[in-house]
Amino acid sequence: MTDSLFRSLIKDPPQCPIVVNGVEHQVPVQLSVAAALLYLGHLATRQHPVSGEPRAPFCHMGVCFECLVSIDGQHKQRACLRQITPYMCIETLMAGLN
Amino acid sequence: MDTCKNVLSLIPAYNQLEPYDWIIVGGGLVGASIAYGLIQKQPQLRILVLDGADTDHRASVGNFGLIWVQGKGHNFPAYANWSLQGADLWPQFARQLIHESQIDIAYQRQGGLEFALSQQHLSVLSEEMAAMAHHTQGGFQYTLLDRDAALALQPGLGESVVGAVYSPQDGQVNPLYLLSALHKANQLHGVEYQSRCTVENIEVLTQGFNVAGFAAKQIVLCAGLDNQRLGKQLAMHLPVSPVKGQILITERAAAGTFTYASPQLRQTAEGTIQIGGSHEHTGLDDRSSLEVMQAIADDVVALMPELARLQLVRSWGALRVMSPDGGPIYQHSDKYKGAFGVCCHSGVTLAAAHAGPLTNWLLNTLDRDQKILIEAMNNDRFSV
Amino acid sequence: MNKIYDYLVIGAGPAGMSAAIEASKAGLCVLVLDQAASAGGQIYRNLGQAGSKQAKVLGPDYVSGKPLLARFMAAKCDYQPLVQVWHIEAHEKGFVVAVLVSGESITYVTSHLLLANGAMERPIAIAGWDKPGVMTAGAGQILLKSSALLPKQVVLAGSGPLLLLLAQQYRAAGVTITALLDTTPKSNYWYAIPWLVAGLTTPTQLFKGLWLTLVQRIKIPYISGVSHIEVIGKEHASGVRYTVSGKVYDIACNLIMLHQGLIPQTQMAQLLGCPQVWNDFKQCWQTQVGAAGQTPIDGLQVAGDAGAIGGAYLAQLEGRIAGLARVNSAAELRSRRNKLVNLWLRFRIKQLHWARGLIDRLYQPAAWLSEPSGDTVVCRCEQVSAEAITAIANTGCAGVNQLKSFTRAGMGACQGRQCGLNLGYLVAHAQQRPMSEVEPLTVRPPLSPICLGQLARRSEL
Repeated sequence: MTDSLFRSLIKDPPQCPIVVNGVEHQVPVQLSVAAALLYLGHLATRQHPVSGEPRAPFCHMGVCFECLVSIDGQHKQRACLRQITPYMCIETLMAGLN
Repeated sequence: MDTCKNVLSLIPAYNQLEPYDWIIVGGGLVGASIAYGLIQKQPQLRILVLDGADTDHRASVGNFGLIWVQGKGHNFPAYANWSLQGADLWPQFARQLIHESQIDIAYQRQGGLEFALSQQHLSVLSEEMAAMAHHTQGGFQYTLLDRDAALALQPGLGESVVGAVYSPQDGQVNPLYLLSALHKANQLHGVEYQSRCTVENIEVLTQGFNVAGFAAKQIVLCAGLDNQRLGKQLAMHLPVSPVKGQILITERAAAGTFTYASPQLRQTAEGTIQIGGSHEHTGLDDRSSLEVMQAIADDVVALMPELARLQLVRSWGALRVMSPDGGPIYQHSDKYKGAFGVCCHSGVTLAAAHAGPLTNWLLNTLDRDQKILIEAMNNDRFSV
Repeated sequence: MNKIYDYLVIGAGPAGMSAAIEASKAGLCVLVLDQAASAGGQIYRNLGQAGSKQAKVLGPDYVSGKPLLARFMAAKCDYQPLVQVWHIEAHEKGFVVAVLVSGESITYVTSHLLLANGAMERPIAIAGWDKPGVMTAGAGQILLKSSALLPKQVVLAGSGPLLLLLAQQYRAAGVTITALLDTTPKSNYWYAIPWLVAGLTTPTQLFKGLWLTLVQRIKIPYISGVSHIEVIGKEHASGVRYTVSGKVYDIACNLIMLHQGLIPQTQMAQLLGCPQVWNDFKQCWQTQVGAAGQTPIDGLQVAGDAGAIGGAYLAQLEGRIAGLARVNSAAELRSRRNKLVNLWLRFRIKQLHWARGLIDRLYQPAAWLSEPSGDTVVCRCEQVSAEAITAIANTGCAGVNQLKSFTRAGMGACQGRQCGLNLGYLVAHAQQRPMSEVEPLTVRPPLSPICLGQLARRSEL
């Protein structure tokens, strides 16, 4: 995680708590899971199962399957197709076979 | 033929004057293995492989990828011996093919398991295996496993598994890379390959044959389901019909999720789990269907419950090329010398045998015993 | 579960919503399935929930979808959001559509089916396009629409109206656009001139488009005549390399948004057996669709961008005519007025597609984009490079499907959506065949992944 490349258009947006890789964060309520990860500064959200290289959300419309993460225990979900909910547990797939 | 006009221009003009030694109709595993065997044995041969269109029915790319001896030919002694011989020739065949093509075809002879989900199924398997061992004079080796013994080999089996048959002679390969490697090795050896060439008619010349504008002294039909139609043109009865099989493929799973080869499932070298397979008589319809996909998923989840969490990534249906008794057909035309037909649904298991003894049969350089074995698999067995 | 719908519409964008409105107005039993959380499609994504600030930044075209959205929400039809369609097949009563809803597999049966699932962005296989820090311009716009999220700083690269629109929206929101690299070949402007006549039939659109193009050129660092873009950087994008008039330049940046226009999502139609034809003008495969959305498959219609890219307004008209055609086929409405509406719709659709020719010609992707080479990844899912694909194509393989078998390209979770077009280009180049002769990848289920446990019937117990 580094400084985020993104910011919210809205000043002081209402917040929602989510848990990413075991750490609780407050993020704007309106975010998709992929947007939340970008907002929090996750440059990459998974390790490619073939090349092992880092990958990040690409198309944001469910086509490319680059944004796969684990959501509330369901593995390999497309982060771009899901809106965040309070205390949603998100795990990025950055280590090992995913 | 019209369909080949566009490709004729790519072939040097002399080819049309000087007939090929062999034309092989069909660039699937059977055709490619035979071309590979022929060119290995007689490198001076001029061979042309004619292949179909991109979206033709292709049993070779729908294959499950097993080199499977268990149960093959339990009711057909020649086929039993032939399968066993084919599997035994595989290690040397694979070594050479990998060396020549530089393509890792992921061949492994780790042994195979067929699981029984009922005692009745287990006893049927047991009888078939005993028959196989008998036909091969003990050449075929196997062990009957009860549930505990099966679990010791493959942990994670579901409650409904009552036992299994294990044979060390079974194995697996990536059938797509096998086909790719054969094509590559053939081209390196100078075999010519022509895709998108649909063969409508075969013309019999005074000496040899004319196929889609190409002349050849000898011809082998390896056109899968089309062999029936093409065979008639060369006075050969090649009774084959389609049997659909549907296969599911999951995402990559952790290495070692499933260790052995099995007709029910196998883990590929990439890590995906490949799950098979249905037997449906639906004509030339090779589409996947909801009902059968669900049934296959039901079976595999019963077999190994932990697989339920894996995502299905691909599925496909393909048409097996089946003879009336399931065995291969090796036929020469009595009427037209130099015309042969090869039909089989075990293009992977028999690839090494097709590149080996079968090409000797085609070249008429086979010893007597082997000749008898191969000719026991001609179409005489279907005439009453 | 035994209910049989009269009309099942996949996609709640302008086409799907319009068709559903017409069909439900006539009393048909209609179900609309959509992937998104709220109706609107990509164009009006999140319109019902978007705040005033978002609406202001996104502009009047976005807000103009409100009446349609309101009519759809008032229509008497079943609407199921957040649905993943993973399989469709023919059924004795028509079609069965298998979907995943909150992790559960459900099937719907319908006598008639409309595919209105829209477009996707043309996949752009340039070096480094798979690195983190690279996304599509469409993705940028989706982040803005559904999440009110903006980049702090970005390079926009490519060609097409959406890229210019995004530049405008980002500018309005105060985003720093480091550069807009326009890859539209200069020759396209000349080739597009004859199409100005067509464009003039929609003067407002033409004027808006010209204005949009001119404004960006003045207000942001706008570099035209760009070719051979590649993303540089180790694990993450750190810059863009590009060529202008034979000279190579680098710009440092860690976020790049690419765009080269849209292509139809044809997978569902392909799965059901609709033949595909290559459209050389639009540079994509398309399903053959009749004037009222009909396909060669009985009971199956396609409307909107899922058929041929035409934009939101055209999609709305196409959806409407498809819905009316469904109603007429049910013989429930044969009024004189309806006939007139039909005629008018047919005329407008023809005219707008013709006018669209100007955009299609002007923004036709540059030739270099169809020639990825070297270790540029073409299949992102299976990490297959352009050179590996070309090597197999050079051996005379029959086409993209055989190529898939031999290289694994197209075998991944995206089902070849991100590589199919470029596989076609590479085969065509290697074998010197026109694209019209190359068949697209065959489509098989699942259209999107489903767990074995979700698929197995036993798990329903």
